[in-house]
Amino acid sequence: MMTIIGGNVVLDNVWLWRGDKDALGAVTAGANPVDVGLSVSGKNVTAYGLSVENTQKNQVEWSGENGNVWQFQATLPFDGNTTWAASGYSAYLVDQAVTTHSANGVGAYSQFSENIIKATAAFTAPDAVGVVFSNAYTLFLGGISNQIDSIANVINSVGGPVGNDVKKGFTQSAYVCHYSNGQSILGETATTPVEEYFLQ
Amino acid sequence: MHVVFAPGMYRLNATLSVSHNNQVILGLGLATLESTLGLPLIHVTNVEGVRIAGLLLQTGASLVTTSTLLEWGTNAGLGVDGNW
Repeated sequence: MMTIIGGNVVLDNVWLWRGDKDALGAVTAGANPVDVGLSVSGKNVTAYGLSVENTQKNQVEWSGENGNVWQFQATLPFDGNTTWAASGYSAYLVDQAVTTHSANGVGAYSQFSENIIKATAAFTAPDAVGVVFSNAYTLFLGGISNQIDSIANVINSVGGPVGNDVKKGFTQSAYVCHYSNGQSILGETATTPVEEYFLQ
Repeated sequence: MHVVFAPGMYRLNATLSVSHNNQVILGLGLATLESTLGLPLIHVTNVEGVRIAGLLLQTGASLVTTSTLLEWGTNAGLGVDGNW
């Protein structure tokens, strides 16, 4: 949807949305397709307040060096299916060749409305000393009935699953306070039912 | 050389090329640009200091695939310190 090739670009309050509704009503089963929300190949690119919603491949693909992100949120595609899940797409993918990247306050949530599927990881990044995530989280927002767990891990293989706590005993959110080069500090898990998130 | 869009819908069948240093493209009232033929709506060429704000970019109703709505820069790593 947006392609940043140049260096030293600042994105400030950018919302990249694949619509889940249009003039004809609900968008279902892969209609109105969008592959990637944001693609960054330029160096020294910074994003403040970045949102990417419902796009159907990796929602952010960052291959430029020295990217900085402050506040990111993403909704995994509401109409994802088993093919999507098997492809291992993430909300936020840092290319394996990147050596320096900083992501701060970044979250992704699931609302799989059509299929019972599970994402592999919300964030996928290379294990390098200069690639650092601070305060990353995932949230099971909701989904079709009988959805059990929806996102297997927060970053790579760290953070653990989120899912339907009321019915199945999974925590609904998972936090990773710090992650770099395979080392992590996990946060507390929350078990508050989703409905109460909106009441607080 | 700056461009200000008044509120409204602007259906573009060609790409708006931003090719001057320090050029400003500003939308008022969340002016909307729509790509009718599947071309990028805005392309910033290899220039510096450009600012773009206040716009909503969207694809048209046609089934033509749009490669991207906003493309910033052309060749990565060119210029001093990878400036563009």
